[in-house]
Amino acid sequence: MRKIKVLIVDDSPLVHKLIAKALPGDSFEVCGLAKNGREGLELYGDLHPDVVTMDITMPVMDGLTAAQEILARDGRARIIMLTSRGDKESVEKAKALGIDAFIQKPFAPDQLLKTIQRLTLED
Amino acid sequence: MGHDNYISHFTAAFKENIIAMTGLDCTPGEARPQTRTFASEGVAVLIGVTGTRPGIIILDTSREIARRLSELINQEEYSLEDEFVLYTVAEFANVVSGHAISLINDLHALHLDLTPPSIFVGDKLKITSTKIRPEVVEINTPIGKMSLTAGFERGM
Repeated sequence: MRKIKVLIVDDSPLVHKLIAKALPGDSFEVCGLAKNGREGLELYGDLHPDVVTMDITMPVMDGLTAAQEILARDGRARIIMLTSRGDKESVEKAKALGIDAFIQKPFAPDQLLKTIQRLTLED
Repeated sequence: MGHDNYISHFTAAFKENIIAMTGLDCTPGEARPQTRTFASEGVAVLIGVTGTRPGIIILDTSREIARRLSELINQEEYSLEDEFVLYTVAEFANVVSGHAISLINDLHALHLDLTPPSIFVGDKLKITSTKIRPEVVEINTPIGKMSLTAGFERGM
């Protein structure tokens, strides 16, 4: 069975580690790590991941801008906003971009797994 | 947003998230005005607030408490020098700040945003706030004391 390729976009090396730890290696492959939205955008084009986890507050380019640019290039991109923010404005901005997967940190590994599975089963 | 209660959103977010991330409870003290210049205990995480009411948030603690907090969050052992200690404390401050700012935005119809955290480490660090007079709350936890300083421009 082909592994689900996940691109992690977050400025925290800790979050890179926690997400990688949450994803069982037999079903998932962390194909890339980006520390800001600009890097995430570039890696998305290079790596073609199945799912992207995207923080909002990052240097260089924030996650909502990066998500918007990724979706403009690939309308089928599956993005999970994974952020400490949970205010209505942030959630609504993500929804307006077409993103309906929004997880507030700290995340439960099981919640992340289920969300990735839901998104990848939608195809 | 009134001066009387914004700091309570930060202490509530601290309590909620230290329980969620470590299982430890904590006891916040009373809020008091922060001095214009204060000495860090050794590790300070600074997060800026941008948007309709610019401000600053500072989580401060000792290197040993930072190490113990990181071990509890990640379930791994660390030395004092391990950079993951700093990444973990920065992410903890980021989570606390994100929750508090989200609540303040929703309750007060504000549009506040956060900057990525900056981490400062040193034995004789002093932090001076020139434009903002923040408040500070000392928080007692089973692994030691941390402090949370927060303030906004225009006398908030």
